[in-house]
Amino acid sequence: MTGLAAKDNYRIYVSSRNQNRTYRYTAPSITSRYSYIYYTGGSQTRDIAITTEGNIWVATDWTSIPLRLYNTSNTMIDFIDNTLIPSACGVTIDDDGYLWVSDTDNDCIYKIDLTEGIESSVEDTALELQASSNPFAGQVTITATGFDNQATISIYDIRGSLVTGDSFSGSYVFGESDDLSQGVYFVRVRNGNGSEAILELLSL
Amino acid sequence: MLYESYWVYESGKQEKIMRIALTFAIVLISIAPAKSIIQTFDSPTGDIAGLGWENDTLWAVDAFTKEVFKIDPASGNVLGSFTTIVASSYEATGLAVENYYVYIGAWNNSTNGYVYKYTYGGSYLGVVSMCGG
Repeated sequence: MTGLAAKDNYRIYVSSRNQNRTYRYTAPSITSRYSYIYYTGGSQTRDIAITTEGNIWVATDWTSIPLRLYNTSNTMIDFIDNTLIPSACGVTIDDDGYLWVSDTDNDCIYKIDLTEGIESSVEDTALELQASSNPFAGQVTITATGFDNQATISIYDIRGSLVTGDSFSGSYVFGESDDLSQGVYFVRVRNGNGSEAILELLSL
Repeated sequence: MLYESYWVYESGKQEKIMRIALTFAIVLISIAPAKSIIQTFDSPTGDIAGLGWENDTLWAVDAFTKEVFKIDPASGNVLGSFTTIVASSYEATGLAVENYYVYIGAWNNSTNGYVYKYTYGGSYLGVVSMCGG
């Protein structure tokens, strides 16, 4: 048992590290256990936070992706990798939707904007990623708009392992020389200022 | 993913003769919003393992000292703190705040876990066992 979150004035969410899932209880007596979300492809979980939509941010020991967002279908739908946060232990969400994360490696607490790159110098520019086909077989071309000339691309598998990464200048062919397994991949393209977009791909 | 079922008609007949459930897994292109760190401050101690939020206040618990901190989120200043009765063989691993209660999760790195309940002021209200770890 490693993580706690609360929502709706009477719900407590408890993350089980051994069972790799979140259970939901009724507060304040903490009764009526209900299996809520299973962390597909995840493990070594720490603290959790719940969004207004009912999705769960879970901090993990994994160095490549210390924070993952799961929906109630047990699917990882977003993540924060270690280029933004070196490590994550405690996590919560405030009333404005900002994510707060404790980093025990650097003894600090971060406030993270999930909605837009407030510190971005590329103002009023929408970040957009597109795939030539999705699902894809063999290879896929990823194109993007709104990124600067310092952008990088990183592609992760469902377990959060980095498959490939490179500088990004508008398009990238994925799968051309990679020995891909079937399954879900996450493409992250990040500007030099830290703003980013993520695209989910399915390899057939 | 989207799942759709289709009714299939045999040519020339008006009635439905069979139903074939065709499931298409359509992976939608999902654009996640950009993320950025907009504020950083020092943790009150070195091993903050759980964070919680209520009433414009950030709460934190240290894994090993099991001390709970009430933090001003604008400055990072500690506004108050209290100690908990989490057993020495357990680590504090999570924190939630709801309806003026502070819940502390504790785990023994094995199969046992507990949730402790406190008031904002640090008064102990009880504990619930979490089997399975």
